[in-house]
Amino acid sequence: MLSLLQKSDQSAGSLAPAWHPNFRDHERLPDTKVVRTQFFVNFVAIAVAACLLLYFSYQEYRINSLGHQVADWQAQIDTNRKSSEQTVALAKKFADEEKKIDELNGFLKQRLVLSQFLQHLGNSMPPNLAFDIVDVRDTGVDLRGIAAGTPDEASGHTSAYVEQLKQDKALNAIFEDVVLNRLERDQANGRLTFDVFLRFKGAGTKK
Amino acid sequence: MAIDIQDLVVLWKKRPVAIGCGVLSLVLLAGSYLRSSRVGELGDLLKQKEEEGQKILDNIGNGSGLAKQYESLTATTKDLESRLVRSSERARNQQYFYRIESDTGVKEVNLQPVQAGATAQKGPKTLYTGVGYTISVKGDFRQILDFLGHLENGQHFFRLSSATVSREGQRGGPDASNAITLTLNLELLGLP
Repeated sequence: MLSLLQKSDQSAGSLAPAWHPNFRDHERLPDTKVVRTQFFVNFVAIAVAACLLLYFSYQEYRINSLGHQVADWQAQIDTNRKSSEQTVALAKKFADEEKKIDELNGFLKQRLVLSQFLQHLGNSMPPNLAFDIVDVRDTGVDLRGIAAGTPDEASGHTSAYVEQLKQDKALNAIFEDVVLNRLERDQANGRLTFDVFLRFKGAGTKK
Repeated sequence: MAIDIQDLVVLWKKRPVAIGCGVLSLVLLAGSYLRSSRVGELGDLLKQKEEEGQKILDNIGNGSGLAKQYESLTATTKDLESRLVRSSERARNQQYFYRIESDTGVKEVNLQPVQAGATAQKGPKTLYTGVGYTISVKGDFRQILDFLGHLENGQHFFRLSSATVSREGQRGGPDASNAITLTLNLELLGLP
């Protein structure tokens, strides 16, 4: 009876997990994964280093290339500098001479060539009008004279002449306005006197 | 948590490739950082040299034929300057008007030099100056036109300030004539 009891105790004991100390040193045991961790670490480290090396090399290549380009330009500048300086000095002299021509052009720039103007007036003047004074000023030309005929005819001749002056293409190029300033009878001889003003283009306010 | 040399040696022995690559990466990063400013500097310098070089090349290019043009311009200005009057040479200047008077047949009524200040124009300083004169001459219409033509196309450069052309005498009166009086305020271009 006792042995039966003991036997049953033995069968119960064989079912319990067998305990023993684990002496395995995981640090020294080989990595049993399909791809070792070491491979990944090395791969990443080499990839990063390779990328940086490429970047650094490219940067150095650019520095070298820029340095060469700077040196090339400097050599070209040194070669051409003297010639350029001579050209600049000559251009300055040229500009000084040019100033003289510009000044002369400015001096000779006139609104009116008087001889041509008088000749044009003489040729285009109607037979029943006569000038007493032609006065050329900064702002324009004042024409004063007399008109022949009765007052009615004379005033008609004068206004027709003013209209003719306004339509005159040659005068239109010089004058912007033609105004009859005065038309009155001369008490001494009974003739009608007129005063026509031709204002230069851009001469400012009207008379 | 302090890492001593022994730990580093252990780490080096364990992953020599990774540690080596890491150290190399650090060195390359530091190098790139230190040299990066040099790229910018050289880029700016190159731009500056390119501009300077291009300007010099342009100067040379634009200057081709300039010497010949300058020679021609100088000859022209020399010729023009020989036609200028001198404000100090009053007698010679008046002689110019008298010569035109005798050439055209007009009769000189009045010839007066104008004070320098009266004709001086405000503005930037000029190389030349206008030498002013007031001149009155009498003659018939043809003579007056001839006189004006001589002045306008004469040896000296002429500029008209104002002019008055008036008929002589009373119209229809006993002193009526074909005579015309021309009064000019003018300037001859001259050297100060």
